[in-house]
Amino acid sequence: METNEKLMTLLRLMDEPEAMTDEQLEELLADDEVRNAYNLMADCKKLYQKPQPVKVKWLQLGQRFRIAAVFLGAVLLCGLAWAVIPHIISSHTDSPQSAQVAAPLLHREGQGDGSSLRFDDVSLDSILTVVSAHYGKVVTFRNEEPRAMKLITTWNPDESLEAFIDHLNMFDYIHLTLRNDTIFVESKNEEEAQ
Amino acid sequence: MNQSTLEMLFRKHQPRLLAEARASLYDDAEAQDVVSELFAELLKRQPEVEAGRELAYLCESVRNRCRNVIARKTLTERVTRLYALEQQTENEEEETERLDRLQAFIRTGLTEAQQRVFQLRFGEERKYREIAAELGISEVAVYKHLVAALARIRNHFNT
Repeated sequence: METNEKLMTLLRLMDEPEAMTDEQLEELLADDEVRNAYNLMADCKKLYQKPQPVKVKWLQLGQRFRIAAVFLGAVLLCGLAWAVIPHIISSHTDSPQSAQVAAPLLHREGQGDGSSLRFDDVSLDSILTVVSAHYGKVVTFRNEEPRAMKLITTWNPDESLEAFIDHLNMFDYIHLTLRNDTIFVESKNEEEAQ
Repeated sequence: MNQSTLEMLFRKHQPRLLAEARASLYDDAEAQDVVSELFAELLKRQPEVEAGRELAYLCESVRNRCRNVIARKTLTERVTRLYALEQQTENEEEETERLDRLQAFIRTGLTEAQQRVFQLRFGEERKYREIAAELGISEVAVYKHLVAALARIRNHFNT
């Protein structure tokens, strides 16, 4: 088999792991050209998946938003920490200290001058806590599934709430509606999502 | 490093360490396990680390643990996740330089279609049939774009 054919075979197999055996792979990767091409692909993946710096920029959003943001910061900072650290550190701290941890982060991230806030892998619940506080609305989850759903999204506090809701409704499996002063959240069923 | 120092270090550097682990493992759950297990072990051992070198020590420990996680996987698992087959001996700075050179060439030396295929495949981990549907080309054309682009990169860096 030509090297290019071997490489094409490898590419196909990489998409169908169930069709692969270690022996088949060893045979393909014994070809230096294929092995080098594979390693180059591994580099490319590393490159494309390299964490990009997250630019979180806080505008003059007023005290109410700032309080909500401290809460979000605490969630962001401590969420994973609290998920893990109780297993390994018995004397973990309580929530007031969590807020103290969050404040310096907000201060540091507040140096920017842009207009959008990026939520990176943040639960819908936490996102809506901040957003609803900014617009003076309340949030009602009609079912619990969407609450913990993690999203990567951006929000421009200068834009209307309706625009942000339209943006969130582009995600599969969640549907938001605004009625009077309440944001209703519910999950879409799978058929609707598709 | 005593317990309170470790707790402080965990709070301060956990996001960076998770990012480091994710960059090697491409898996959030595995990355969290690596970081948690590292701190669990450090709590037991409480090693002495030179002041000011804590983050470097933690990052290197995370990288070593990620290498061990990858080494324990079967070849099929490694290839499916596109892990490097050979352990790199370079340091972080050298790797960053190498990847920066690669990135620069991808931007200037590949066609737009090839770059789009790279983004969809390596950045978004799409299946070939999904890439084909997105770009309105055949699956075979996707393979050909990939093979041609890899050949072009190899030719560039081999010369």
